[in-house]
Amino acid sequence: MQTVLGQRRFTHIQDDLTNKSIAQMSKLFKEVQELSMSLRMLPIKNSFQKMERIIRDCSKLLGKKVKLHLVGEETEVDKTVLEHIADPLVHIVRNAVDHGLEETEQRVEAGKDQTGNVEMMAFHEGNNLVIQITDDGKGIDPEVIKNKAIEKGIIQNASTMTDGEIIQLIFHPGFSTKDEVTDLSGRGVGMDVVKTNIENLGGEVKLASKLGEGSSLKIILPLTLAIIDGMVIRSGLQQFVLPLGQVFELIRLEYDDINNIPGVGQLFNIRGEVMPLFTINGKLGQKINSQNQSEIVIIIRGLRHAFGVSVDDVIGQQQIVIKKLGEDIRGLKGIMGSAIMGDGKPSFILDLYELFKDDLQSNKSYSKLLNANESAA
Amino acid sequence: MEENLKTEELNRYLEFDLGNQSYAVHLLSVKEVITVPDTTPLPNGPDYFVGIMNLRGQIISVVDLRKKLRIESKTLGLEEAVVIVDLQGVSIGLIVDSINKVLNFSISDITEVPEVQSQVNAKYIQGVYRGEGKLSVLLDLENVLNINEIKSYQKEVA
Repeated sequence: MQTVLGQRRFTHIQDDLTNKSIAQMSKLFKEVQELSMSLRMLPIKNSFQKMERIIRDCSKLLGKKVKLHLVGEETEVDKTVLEHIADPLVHIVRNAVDHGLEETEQRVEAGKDQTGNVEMMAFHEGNNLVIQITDDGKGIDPEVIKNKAIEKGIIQNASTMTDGEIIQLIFHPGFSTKDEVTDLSGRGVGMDVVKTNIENLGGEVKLASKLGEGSSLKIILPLTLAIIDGMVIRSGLQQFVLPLGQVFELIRLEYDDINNIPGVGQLFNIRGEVMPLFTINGKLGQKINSQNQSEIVIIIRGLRHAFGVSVDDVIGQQQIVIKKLGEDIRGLKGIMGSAIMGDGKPSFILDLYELFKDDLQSNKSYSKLLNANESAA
Repeated sequence: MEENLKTEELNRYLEFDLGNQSYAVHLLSVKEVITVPDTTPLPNGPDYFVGIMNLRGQIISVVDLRKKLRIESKTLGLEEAVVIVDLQGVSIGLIVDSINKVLNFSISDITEVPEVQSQVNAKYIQGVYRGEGKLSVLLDLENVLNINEIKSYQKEVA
């Protein structure tokens, strides 16, 4: 797939005929690529709907009334991820019904509705996919877990453990609170397999529980397998990738249109709206070598701020595979990850909003300006 | 007796040159040795951080070990190589002047760090191996590439 992504590799070829056939080929490749890509990304709907049946089976078997709420069924998930989370999801849902929800009588006693609720929610959060499974059952009792764990010899002494740590013990291999093995549970394989599966995908599992009110399991999966549309730009001699979703508009500014205001910085006026202008070269410490009469400015619109960033050149659009950075430089400010370009060299993917966030906030003049814009609008 | 056996155990180190001096790292931490690849520099990165490289689809950071240890590099750099090491799950590439050979010796051959002024900070050194009339400094890579150092650099930027 990565080779297909390097559509621009042959741009130096001069021959017309060759160029034509290459263009034709790229078009074909792109089609195939888009097709295969659309096959990869599937809505989570199908897996979620399977849960309906599982819930129904479980509730019949256990004589509990259960209602399943599905939220965010349309959230698209990479196919490979979907395949790997299908089984863990089944297990988690079963657990929620079997261990999480109380018997009908207990529910009534506790002043809850007869029907137990299980909610499955999927959404994107930053660069992650989050699947959250919540039940309104009895919650996890740290005491019960503690005693079972000691009985099974998983821990010796729980005196130094917090409740939060104790409930994490359910992820321990061989742990089960059930004494009898049933169709549904009691084998002690389960949550640990769930955890391993998710961790193999590079994700994490977070468990939260409140006694008497229910439990919530949050699965956080990175979207590293995800492919995004990127805009390739040049700053100095280096290429960078911007997520296309961040780019609101591209404009060309004449130097005369840029106002240098002492104490504030550079500002420009676009269709009656005043925006601060930053240069990517200055921020990234690249050499400034613009001799042009005009600047190419990328306009970014965040939730609160809008600003322009001038770049040396816009090279084009490309679909890119997000690659994780090495652990030593992961989480660097303003850098989302890296992508391997057509020539095999890696480039950084920039999060411009993150990169200039401080500049926007630190400078009060900008805030005032932006407020003025808001009130004007 | 048992202790004796332990010290007689063979140690394998990969020896390489930085400037005019030979250094060596534990072979078990070395994943592979490659020629210097194309790298993409990190904006505003420290000077010893050469950039990131593409190793068969995996992104790996490349550090210039000579700059990191403030050693003047040798000659023209025709023999420059990148040693890919794996330290606690973190893969990092190190640029060195040249790769020499794999050293085999027992722990008893390692001399403590002599109390001499050296360019290299003493905490970076595990010991010195003296063999074939030449000294090799055994580097403690985990200290040299202190990941916390890079992380604290991150905070500076942020």
